[in-house]
This record gives sequence, structure tokens and C-alpha cells, in this order.
Amino acid sequence: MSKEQMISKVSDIVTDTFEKLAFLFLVPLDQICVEEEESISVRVLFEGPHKGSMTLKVPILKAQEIAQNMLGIDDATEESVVEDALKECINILCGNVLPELFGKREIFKIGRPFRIDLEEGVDNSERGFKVSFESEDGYCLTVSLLLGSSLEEASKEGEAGSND
Amino acid sequence: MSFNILLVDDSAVMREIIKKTLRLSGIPLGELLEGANGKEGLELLNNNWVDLVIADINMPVMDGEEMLDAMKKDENLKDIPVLVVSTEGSESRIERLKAKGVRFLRKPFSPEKLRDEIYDLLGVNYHEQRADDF
Repeated sequence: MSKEQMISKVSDIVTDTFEKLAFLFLVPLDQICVEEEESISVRVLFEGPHKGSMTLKVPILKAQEIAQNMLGIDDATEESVVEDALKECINILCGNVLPELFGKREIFKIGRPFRIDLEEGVDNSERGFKVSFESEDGYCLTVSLLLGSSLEEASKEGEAGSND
Repeated sequence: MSFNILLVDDSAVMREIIKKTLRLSGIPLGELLEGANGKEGLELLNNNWVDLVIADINMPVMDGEEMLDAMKKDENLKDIPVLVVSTEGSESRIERLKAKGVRFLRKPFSPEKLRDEIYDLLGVNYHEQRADDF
């Protein structure tokens, strides 16, 4: 699986997940957006056939709307509630992304999601990538995946180990 | 007819999401009980009438699979239908759970999908249930 194919699969999972979970319709962007607004970032670590992390960055106002839609409440502005909602999002995203990228027979252990204050650089390098999405009202969300090994190497191992 | 449902998930947010989705699904709901792990789930099962258990797998203290094993050993609990909702992606682990008699639903899910899985699991005809509602 090429890096472009991986990005495409991750994009599909992100758009589907937010649509079902938060009634949020997202469009993948060709470029990584530079978000000027204050954002909240959550991350999950995983291990198994491959180690790595997945991170979700969302502008705070959009994160509040996501929490409201997920929980079915009118006013979800409390920071801990918003944070917990985003943690659930990244947990679900990671749980769906890993079998798609590395094979459904592989067993991964996904850690508990946590908030990060400063996003460490996850460039579109050989070990990972970022994908940005735009909501209907112009907000930008970014999802990044970073592996301990190169994407190419991990992808080949995943294909070899998959019985799909 | 309404259903008493036990939700077992260590994430309070996820329990709220499931409750919201259950309400949107149109399933006639009785009492909704909540536990944060398998141990709490078993305690609630022993003290309440429950028609269906909706449980996560990965939880602290006692995970969903351990709770399921304990239910299967208990004459009073072994026949209660269980729907596992999880992000679990490993087919081998999912197959192992299914072999224990549970249904599996991957997160995220729509209200319609949840309703269909629950009605199928409980042996309820959706159209008959709707007629009963009117």
C-alpha cells in the first residue's frame, strides 16, 4: 500500500467516523491547513506489530460543537467534557485505522487517549503523515499518524500478515 | 414493551453517546443502568432485571470478556443477550467473542444500525414493534 493509499483510507475513516459520531461533514484537503485559532489536541499511542501514535487537532469552537453533537446536549463548553469527547474520537479513529492499514488479523493494543498541549512536529515524512479536513463552516481539523518505523516497511509487513 | 439495558463502558462519554443513540434509534427504553467496568456490570446484573447488556471490551478492573465469562458461569445471567460495542479491529479477537455467543458492533455506529442489531439479537420484529408502539 502506497502512502497515498494510506492517506486515502485514513481520510475515508475520518470522514465516516465524524459523520456518524458527531453529524459533522468533513472534506479532506490537499494541503495541511495552518490553523490560527486556539485548538485542542488529543493523542493515542498504540503498540503491536507496529508502534506509533495518532493525533487529532481541532479548533476549540468546533470541538465544543463535536462534543454537543456526540453527547446530544445543547451546551458542552466545559473543557473536560470537550476533551473527553475528543479522546473518544481519536480512540475510535485509531481502532478503525490500524486494521485497515496493517491487516485485520493483527492485534494492536491501543492506550488510553491523552491531551497534548504542544503538538510535536509530525511532518509528512517517511514515518508518518498528516491530513487536514475542512468542515462545512470552514473549520480545519488535522489528523496525524506517526510510526516507529517507515510507512513503507510497516505497510509491506501488514500486507504480508493480512489474510484479507 | 420496553427494554431494560445495562451499559458497561469505562468511558462516561461513550455511555452518553450510546444512551443518545439508543434514544434516537426509537427502541422503547425502560431503565438504563450504567457500569464503568465488568465488576460493576456484574453487580448491577445481580440486583436488577436486565433485558440486554451493551458492553465494551477494553476496561480496567474487569474487562468485557471477563465479565462475559462470569455471566456464562452464572445460571441467572448466562442467557442475557450481550452486544459488544468496541473499536476492536482484530478479527481473531472478534471471532473469539462471537464464539462465546455475543454480537459485535464496531464503533462508530448509526442509530439505525444499533436498533437493527438489538432487535435481531432480542428476536424482535421491527415492524411488529413499530405497530405495537402506535
